[in-house]
Parts: sequence; structure tokens; C-alpha cells
Amino acid sequence: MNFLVQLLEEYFQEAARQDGIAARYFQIAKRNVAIQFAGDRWVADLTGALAHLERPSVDMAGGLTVSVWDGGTAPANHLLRAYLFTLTNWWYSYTGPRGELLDVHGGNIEAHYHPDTGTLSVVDRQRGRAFYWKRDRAAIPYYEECAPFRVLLHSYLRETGAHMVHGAAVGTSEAAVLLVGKGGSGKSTTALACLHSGMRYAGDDYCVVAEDGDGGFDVHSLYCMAKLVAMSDLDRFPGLDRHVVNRTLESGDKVAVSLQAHTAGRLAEQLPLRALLAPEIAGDGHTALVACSAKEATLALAPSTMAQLPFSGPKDLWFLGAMTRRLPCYRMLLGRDLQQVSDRIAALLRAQGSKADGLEANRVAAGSAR
Amino acid sequence: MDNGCYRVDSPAVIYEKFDAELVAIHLDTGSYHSLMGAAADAFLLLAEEATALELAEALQARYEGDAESIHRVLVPFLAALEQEKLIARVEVRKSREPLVLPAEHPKLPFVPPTLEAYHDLQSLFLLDPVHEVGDRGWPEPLDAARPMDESQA
Repeated sequence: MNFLVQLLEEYFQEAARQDGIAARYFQIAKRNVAIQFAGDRWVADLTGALAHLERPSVDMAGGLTVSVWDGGTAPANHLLRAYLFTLTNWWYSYTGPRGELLDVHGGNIEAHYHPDTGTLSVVDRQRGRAFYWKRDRAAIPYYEECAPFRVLLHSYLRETGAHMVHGAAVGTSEAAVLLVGKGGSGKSTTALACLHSGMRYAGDDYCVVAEDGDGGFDVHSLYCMAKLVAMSDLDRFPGLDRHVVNRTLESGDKVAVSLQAHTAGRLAEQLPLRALLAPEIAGDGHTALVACSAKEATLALAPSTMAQLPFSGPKDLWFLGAMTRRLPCYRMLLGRDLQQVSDRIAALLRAQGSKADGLEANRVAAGSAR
Repeated sequence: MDNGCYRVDSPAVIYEKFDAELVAIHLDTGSYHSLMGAAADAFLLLAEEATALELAEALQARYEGDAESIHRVLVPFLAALEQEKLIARVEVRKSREPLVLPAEHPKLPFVPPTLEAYHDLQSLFLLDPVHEVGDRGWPEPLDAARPMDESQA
């Protein structure tokens, strides 16, 4: 066992003996994940975004067990105490540009330190073990509440053939689209417009994509939180304001909304993925779909996905490239009429869901949407 | 730039080829790049290590033009790749087979290779930036001053 993993295991057990263990179980992209907290301090903050995937219990064979605790109690081991002290104070000397711990990272171990949140994330992929240690008991920022454990889950899911992607997913039980692109491109608002028009919703910021065993892909839900640019965005979606997580915004913050209660059963755990759409704000015109190349779609999907997942690398790019090669890809030029936005996507989904020949369906859908 | 040998700066740089196009991402800077045609072919050859002269000889099997004229435009292209840190100079060369590109009959027109570089996501490594929208959020563009009407709510 890796020396750091061994020391963290002992440290967590010390904290658990003192505060007890609160365990929660989840099924994420058909993979089983147990999250065990030392005490219940962080349970609500770090599981709210996963609430729609919670199970009473899961079979942990082949699954991932994540241990969560904080630095409220120092570790008994002096070596670990010294290591964590130096890491949290002089992290820039121990981490790479993406936060990876230079002396630890490699092989089956992926280790990351995030200085803003003060969180150490370590995954032992071979053993299905992960550790999430928080430096102190300061409040968890909203963006971490919206996408908890994403570094750990990305590492584990990729190892099992499922890939986290930066995008929103909406559709029906027959066909869904993945909305991809950098922040502010209109993914969240488009997805919420589709949700309010009656479609099912699998995610806003991050989703999981895996091959469906039949040459295609399924998109799986990961977090049930939506992020909007400004409070005024809530006005366009009646009822959404009741579920805002962060009412006090600092500069640069988005408005985070929990969708579990809001969606009335339309949160989907899994949908068949049929197309990729890259929204871009087009101004006053009508919303239109324009077919684009795999390379164009990859430019919209891959950089923003990989920049936010510090363990991402060639395997991720290869998978994202396979997605854009096999799925029809479109630029979605967004007008201001949200009903038209959801109508365009609904038309595309109908074509995808009703035609056996996917290529023909894509051609028809693209033509009808222009 | 002299006739030094260069290679793609992996593992920091990863890439994927799509027919005649290639996407490269520099994981340590967050910059990403698009290359087409001869630029994409040259980049793939650079994964095996190459000098500008070796690249020119390999490219002329597939593209119109002689090695000398191809070499001439490769020099600034390699300089651009080096500036973006996509390639690094090789001090000690590895032994490898001569570079070979699948030949085309007839040869493809040679378009001087260029590099499209994007740096808009570099801050995403640390932040979750919001682009191109004003305080009211999308669909209100950044420079829009007028409020939305009720029908858009």
C-alpha cells in the first residue's frame, strides 16, 4: 500500500473513533460509491448534489469507498502531521500546475490538493479507496457543494470506462443531447428551458458518459445542481428561486439551484445520448442548428472538460474524440426566445428517436431546424 | 530557428487527429490548438521527433512542392509551436525509422501550415469564469443595456 494512503487510512480511523461514522451510499453511472464521514459535520454540504442518486445500501464489490474528514483533530502520526502542515502552507512547492501532488501522484495513486478549498483528494484506484480531507472547518464554497468529489469521481469513473464531461444533458427516454461548451455559453439556461418545456434532465455542469455496449453512448446524471449566471436568470424559470443554495453572492459567483425537489421526478439517472450541441449566443436572431465537424465539437467539449478535471489526460481526450466522431454534432446558435430553443432541441430529439437510421435522422433534423 | 530537432512535449501536450484536422491541448497551461492539413501531419511526425528538414522531406511525399520550399514555411511554423510550448527541443536523439507519411496520388495541394491557438480557458484551471454575458446573464449580451420584455421571461 502507498505510504500516504496508509497514513491517511489510519488518520481517518482516528477521526472516526472520535466522531463516529455517517455513511451514505450512491449509484453513479451504474457504479457503486460509498461515502463515509467521520462525524456528520459535512454530510449535508457534500451529499446534497448527489441526493438523487442515493441508495439505502449498495454492494461495494468493485465500487469506490470515499472517506471524508477534516483537520479539526490533528493526526497522531508525526510524519503525516508534518506533511499536511507543510502541504497546506506551502502547497505551491508540492503541487504541479493543476494541483497534482508531485511526490505522490502516479501509478494507481492520484493525489490532488486544492488550495482554495483546502482539500486533499487521494484515490487508490487499485483498491477502490479514496480520501477527501479538508484542512479546516471553514464553510465549503458553493461551487464545491454543487460538484463534490469531482476529482475523485473522475479518477474512479474513468478507470471503469465512464467519463465525466463538462456539459448539460436533456432529452427523453428515447434520445438525449449533451450541451457542451465553456462557461457562459448558454448550457445551463438551455437545459433549464428544456426542463421547463417537459423534457427530462440529467445534469447541468457535469455529466458522465459511457459506451452503451451497442456502439453508442449513454449519458448518466452526476449532480442535481444547476448554476445560473445571475439572480435575474431565475425570473425566467418559475419556482426555481425556492431552491437556491447560495443567496449571498460574491463577485464571480453563480447562482446555484438544487433541482431534486424542483424537477418533480424529471431528473433522469440515465438517457441514451444521440447528439452533441455546442450552444453559442447569437443575439437577436432565431435559434438554429448548424452541423459541425467532430473537431469543432471536440474544441467545444474537450478543453473545458479537461481543464476542470486535473487528472484528465490522453485517455479522456481519446474518449471525447470517439464521442464526437460517432455522434452527430451541431453548433446551436441561440436566439433569445427560450421556447424556440427547447422546440429546436425537441425537433432534433424526435428525429433521433423515431428514425432507425441515425444518419438519415441527423440530416432531416438539421434541415428542419434551420 | 536552426535545424534543431524537436518533439511534441508529452505528457503535458495531448492531441487527437480527426481526418485532416488535429486538436492539441496543453494540460499545464490550459491553452488548446487547432491544426489542419500539413500542419496536422507535421505535428504527428513531431511526436516521433524531427528536424524541419526531416519534416519537409516526409511532407513532400504527400503534398505538392519541393522539400526546400516546404522547409522554408515550416521554420516559422515550428517557431510558433515552440512559442506555445507544444514542442520542445531534443538534445539527445532517439534512434527511429525514417519518417514516412502515406503518399497521396495525386499529391495534395500544400497549404503553409498554421496554428490556431486558444487561450480563453487558461483561468479555468483555478476559476469558473463566465464569458460574454452581462450582469443579467444569458441571453443578455455583455454590451446590452435594454431590459428584457415580459414575453421573454
